[in-house]
Amino acid sequence: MIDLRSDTVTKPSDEMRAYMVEAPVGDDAYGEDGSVNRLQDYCKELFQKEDALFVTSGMMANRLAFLSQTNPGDEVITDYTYHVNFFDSAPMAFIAKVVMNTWHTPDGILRPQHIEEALQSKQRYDYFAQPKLVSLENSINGWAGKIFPFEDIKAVYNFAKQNGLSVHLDGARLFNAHVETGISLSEYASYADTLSVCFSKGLGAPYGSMLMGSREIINKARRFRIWLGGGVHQAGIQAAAAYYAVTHHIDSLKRDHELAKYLAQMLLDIPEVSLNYDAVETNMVQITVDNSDTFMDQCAKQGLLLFPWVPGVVRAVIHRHITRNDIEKAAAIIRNVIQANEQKYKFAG
Amino acid sequence: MKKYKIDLFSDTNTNPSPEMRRVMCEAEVGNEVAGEDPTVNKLLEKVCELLGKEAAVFLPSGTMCNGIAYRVLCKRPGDLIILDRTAHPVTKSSGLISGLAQAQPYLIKGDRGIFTTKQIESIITAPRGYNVSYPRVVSIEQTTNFGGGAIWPLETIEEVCSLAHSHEVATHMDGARLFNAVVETGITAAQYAKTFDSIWIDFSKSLGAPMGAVLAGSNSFIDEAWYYKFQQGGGLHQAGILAAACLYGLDHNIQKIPQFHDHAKRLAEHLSELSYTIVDLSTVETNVIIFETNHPSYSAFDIARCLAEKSIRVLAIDKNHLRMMTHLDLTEEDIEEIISVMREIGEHEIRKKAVG
Repeated sequence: MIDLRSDTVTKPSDEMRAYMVEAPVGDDAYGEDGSVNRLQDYCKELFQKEDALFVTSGMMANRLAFLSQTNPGDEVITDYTYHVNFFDSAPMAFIAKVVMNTWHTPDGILRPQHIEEALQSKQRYDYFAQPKLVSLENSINGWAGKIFPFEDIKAVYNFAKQNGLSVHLDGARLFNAHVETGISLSEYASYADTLSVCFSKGLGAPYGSMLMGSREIINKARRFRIWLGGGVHQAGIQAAAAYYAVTHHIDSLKRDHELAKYLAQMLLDIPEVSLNYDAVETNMVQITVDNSDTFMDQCAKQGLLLFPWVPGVVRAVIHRHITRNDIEKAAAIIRNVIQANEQKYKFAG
Repeated sequence: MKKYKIDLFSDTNTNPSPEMRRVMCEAEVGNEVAGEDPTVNKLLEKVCELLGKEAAVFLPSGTMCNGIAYRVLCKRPGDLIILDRTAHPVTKSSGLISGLAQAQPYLIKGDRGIFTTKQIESIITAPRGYNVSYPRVVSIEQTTNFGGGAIWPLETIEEVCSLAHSHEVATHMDGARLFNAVVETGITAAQYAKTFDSIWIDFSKSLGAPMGAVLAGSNSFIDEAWYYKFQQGGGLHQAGILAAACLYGLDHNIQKIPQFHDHAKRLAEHLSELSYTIVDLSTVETNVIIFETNHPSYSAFDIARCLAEKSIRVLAIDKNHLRMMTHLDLTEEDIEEIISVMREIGEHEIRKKAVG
């Protein structure tokens, strides 16, 4: 079975497991787990942030970022398609108790002009919702791994600062953007008050995310982490896997990207498929297809798992376990399914 | 890489054994949030069987189990959760009850963390109305942590749960140390669990796993729990590595609990012989020792500091009380060393007084 549903399906390698088994541990609930502390210190250095907090998941990291930079009823400005809204609007409402002011940007890039429009979209008396935070994402999951252009990030950050807003960067796949653009992780981090990165996606660790920012904000996040049940004991074994991933696996993301382009290239050769090759910027390939459920079922029967994004949109996510041979097989399966059912599927890029 | 040579601060600070690490290393894994991690699934099946419950969900911590269970069982903001005033969700979980579950704790002054139907009858049976908060959950802790590791008698549990259920109040067990009660009384986990709508067990305490807990209940309860698991960031990917440690703990470490219960009893006996302690030996039922100190010039905080200087950590609960918890990693020699240092702390000060 070729599993292209997500880069979260990656399993820890033997080397990573061997590394985990040796990890020194302590009680992270008291800040005493040596492996967790080493990972946090490493990330502080790598991203040049004052403080870092290792948490169970990207969802928790983003929740804590919102909780520690807003008060209940405050407003967060973001693009409708970013994960913090697209998947997480209910918990952000319940747990962070913030109001989302979401903007439908034409290309997924939330620029200063959109934030300006969002700010102007309602009256701003003192006793109404106060805009506090802008939340960005890089690479953008909802836009099939699109990279947020660095110049736009800078512009957003500067605009936010002029307007007294904080900036959070959901960097679940920031490593993917970084290997593609060559812009350093610390440069990206310098244009965000807080950022989260995930070790459990393309990097291949079983678990965990890091939230980073100023000491003051991360200290607040530490307290909220207890509320959410994120205080854990010997987290060092998980942290060791994340440390292994971040010290060994970043560069290989480039290979995932090349394979994604290779898959897109092969799909282009199928006359029935039209897709935008230039939109494949990192490790995802997205195709539009009528009857997407049937299409996916038929692919699965032939040994290929794809992910249903929204009805009519299917995506393939490339990760560490996928070989060039898998990509060729995947393309062949898609070709078979389409050509056997020509009239049933209509593709558009 | 432990900070202290002997750590009696809590039973959470145990080092996973080499064997446990090996099964973790070899664990078969899949994507937990998609329900596809085979080792997690195996653990859940086993826990359902142990507790006699329909369904279960894996979570990173016991605190997350409490938070999620309360959110599922409470219906409206302001609902009441009835618990002992020493319960962990009240004393050690920050703003969990109000901040996360949007509920109010209704505190009972139990006896070492254990309360009776008599103490909760008035609130459970109080007339409902638009102007009052509804009692929604009775939450108990087995064993009681800050109650000193006391075991809730099965009979008391059954009475409390029966009263709650007859007034449509749900029942929840924080079973962080349920197995400590099980090995001591011989009553099975399923018998203890039977009258609870929601129950969780923890693997990071007496079972020696690095982290992880399982929340169990009916199918519909667990289905709703999954919604909040996502909300709170408890959805994990290859969690099988952790679940493997939890399974190992269930299979190999329950049988080791009696040994450190004995350690607790012996340690308590020695402590009771010191000049500056008041230890009620009858309260040492499991692995927790809470006792009073009346040192001529040291508060409990001072004593804890003196012990820390000798690389022994204990918890000072207040200026007159210390807590010590025994666990898997503790040896006979450790107990002797603690006692010898405790003796020194008494004598050293008296000598100093005689000189000064």
